[in-house]
Amino acid sequence: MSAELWPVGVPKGILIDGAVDSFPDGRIRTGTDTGPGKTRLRNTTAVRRLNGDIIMSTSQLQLFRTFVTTTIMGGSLPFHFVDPITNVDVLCQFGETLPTWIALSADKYRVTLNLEILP
Amino acid sequence: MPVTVSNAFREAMFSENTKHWVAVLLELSHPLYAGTLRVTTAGTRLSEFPLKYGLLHNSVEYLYVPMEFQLPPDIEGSAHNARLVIENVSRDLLIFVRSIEAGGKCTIKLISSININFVERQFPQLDIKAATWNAETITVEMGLDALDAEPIPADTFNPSGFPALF
Repeated sequence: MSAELWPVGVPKGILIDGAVDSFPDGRIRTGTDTGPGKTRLRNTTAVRRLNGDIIMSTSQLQLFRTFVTTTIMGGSLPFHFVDPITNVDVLCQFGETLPTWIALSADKYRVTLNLEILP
Repeated sequence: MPVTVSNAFREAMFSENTKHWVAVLLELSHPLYAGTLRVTTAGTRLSEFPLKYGLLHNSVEYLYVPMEFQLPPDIEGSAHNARLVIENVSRDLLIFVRSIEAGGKCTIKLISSININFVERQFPQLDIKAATWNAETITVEMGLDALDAEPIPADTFNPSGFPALF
């Protein structure tokens, strides 16, 4: 058995505009009086944070809402998503905030995702 | 007491920047808890469902738990006290902590990514002395109870304790 899959029929392409990606940061840095400081790897389970928007229609948003509330239990379970850079399937979960959306028109929504890509 | 670790470990820790990491392995046991709870401060994904992180040290699984650990000090004459603060409390851990009345034991090992099957340093087995918890953290105090409580000198005959002698 594996983690839940992204719902079929819901787009997974994150808009380039406004997307913020990052490196998983598991370092510990120690400042020194002079010089560049010392750095070493502390945590091997650091997450990569990815924020971005997806445009959805009303029916797609309904599917997505069911996925979040029911399939992944209110956003508490991890799920599979497609890495927007490598196009490879990755395991992730929602981060600090659950998805939010605003209506752009009668049948178009901008859904904002706050993802943590798991190591 | 000098700390003896491998040369590779010493070199990695003394270098300006290093890719190697250090992990603490904890083996917690108690007569009222079946089995041994093995946790570590670092690891990789072991399984996706259930989502589980940890590492295999000599083919034994240690589960990754986000925690802070204060190793026993190396000062001569000081007690071997260690402190552990575990975050993201899970049900398994709470069952263990609640079962502690007395006699829980803890073994601490220090390993590094240079060779995760090699123990760089192992501390004497410590007694679990106290544990407090709330919704976010469990704090466990560990030490050598016997040495802490041992009176040195064992008996002192002084006027306050034995007035009839004086």
